[in-house]
Amino acid sequence: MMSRSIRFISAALAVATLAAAGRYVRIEAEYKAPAVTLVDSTGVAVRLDRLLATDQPVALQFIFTTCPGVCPTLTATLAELGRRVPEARLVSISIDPEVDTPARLAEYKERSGAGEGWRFLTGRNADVIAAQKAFDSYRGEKMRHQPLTFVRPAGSESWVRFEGYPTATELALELAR
Amino acid sequence: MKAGAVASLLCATLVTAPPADPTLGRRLYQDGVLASGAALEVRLATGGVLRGKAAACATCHRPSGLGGVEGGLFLPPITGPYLFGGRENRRIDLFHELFQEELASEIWARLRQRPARPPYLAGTFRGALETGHDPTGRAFDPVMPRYSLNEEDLANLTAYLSRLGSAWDPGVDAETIRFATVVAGTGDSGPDRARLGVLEAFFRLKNADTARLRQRSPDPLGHEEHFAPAYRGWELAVWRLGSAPAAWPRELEARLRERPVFALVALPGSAAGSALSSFCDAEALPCLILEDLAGSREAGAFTRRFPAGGCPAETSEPPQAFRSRQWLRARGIPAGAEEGLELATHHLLTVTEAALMHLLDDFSRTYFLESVDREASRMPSPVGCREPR
Repeated sequence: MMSRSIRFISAALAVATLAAAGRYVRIEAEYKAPAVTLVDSTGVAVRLDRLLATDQPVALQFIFTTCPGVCPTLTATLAELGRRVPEARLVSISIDPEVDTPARLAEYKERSGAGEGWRFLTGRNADVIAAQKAFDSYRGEKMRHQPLTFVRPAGSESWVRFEGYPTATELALELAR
Repeated sequence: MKAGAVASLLCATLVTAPPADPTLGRRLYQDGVLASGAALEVRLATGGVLRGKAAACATCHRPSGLGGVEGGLFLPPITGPYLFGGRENRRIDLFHELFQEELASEIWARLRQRPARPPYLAGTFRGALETGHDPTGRAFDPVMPRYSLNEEDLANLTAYLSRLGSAWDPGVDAETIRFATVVAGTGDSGPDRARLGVLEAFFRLKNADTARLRQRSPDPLGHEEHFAPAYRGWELAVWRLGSAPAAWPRELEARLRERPVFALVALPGSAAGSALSSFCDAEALPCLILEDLAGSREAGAFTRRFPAGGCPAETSEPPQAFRSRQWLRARGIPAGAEEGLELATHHLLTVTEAALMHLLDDFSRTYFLESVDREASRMPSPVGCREPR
């Protein structure tokens, strides 16, 4: 009787672990941000490599404002991460620069309840593609984009790439490493 | 269809609920506004919060309710017939979910083996929204939020969804899907003749192809014969308007009442632009307009503009031009002064054809436009401009 319930508990635990593992894949990687000039939601020019060259913790996502399923979830998770780790530098780059003008990004930012420090970037098509390629996330067409979140703890050189849907808590723990 | 009966069944089971208002249900579905006027809010499993429009059903399942595939995510159709109608699981239904998509292998497996699910009833529908399980106990993708709606909002949403997709939009019958294009004035200008020449050739060939498809014996491994019902026979009406633009709205309305069409295609740009845009929005009629980029770019919810020239000079000819040009030459359409317009018309019709493929037997104009947007972003224009919106 005892052994059966232990077996049941360990089976349940295995299922829970699998379910958690199924939500995302975590990969540590080196990425070099390209020296491209993008533009933020207020129209200010931003050098991407300089923006990301910081000792603060960083979280980066690629999104677009007309994206139906993936981006609202990703953006909401990043917003929650920003509330838990206020010192983190949050960056969202649009992969649909022809539609996502600074004004549209400003509206998206407002809708997402993003704080002042969170930068939403767009730019020339070639520069946005260069940024995606630098983070191995360019898939050629916007509807093929993947749910990706990149985080880098304070003072760290290497990035952690999340493919899927980590929770804000998991991302916060990653930044605190 | 059956949705009406199902809707009344649902209403019968909700005897204690306040009377359902599909208009408020629509607002909840499309914009994320509750009956109280407050914004719909939902906490995600990842810890974030979606609010208002971002939390609305339409954000993922699209305004048409027919869903789609995006970012490796399968967003299932949730119109009345799918949710409450006990729609049979046919290969033809699977097709537009499977079509040319990059999906994780587990999603492919799930789609191919999609088990039958009983139609939702009021209780199981509420349960699905609250716990994220369908009536067979299968869990939804974790990205689907868990919604707790009060009785009134749930009844409104159910009333709206029961109606959504329960009837075809006008311009389609069992055999035919009807389109129209517009010619203003005499209609014998070079651009008009170029446009109409490509339109007529495209429709003729399309119908010949579909007729061939219908005669083929079914291929157990292929999908192709399933397209025949989606394509139906393509019928093109040429609406000739007078030379006074002020009278166009009235003339267009009369033609539409006389014999409804599903969409207007390859409309002339600049001249007719804004009169057409407001007509199309008022009638909820998809209008695909050929637009010189130098012309007006005013957008309406139901209009889509396809570039027909006027691109910056630096652009070199894109590879798609070769295919379109070959198609034109093979159909005996000569290269003339209006070749750019011919290429653009061919491109617009190719996008229309691909978009129609996704419809299968869900003839929703909104879904058609969603598919047009998708296909237009995949198929670069042969005239070298990106699609203006």
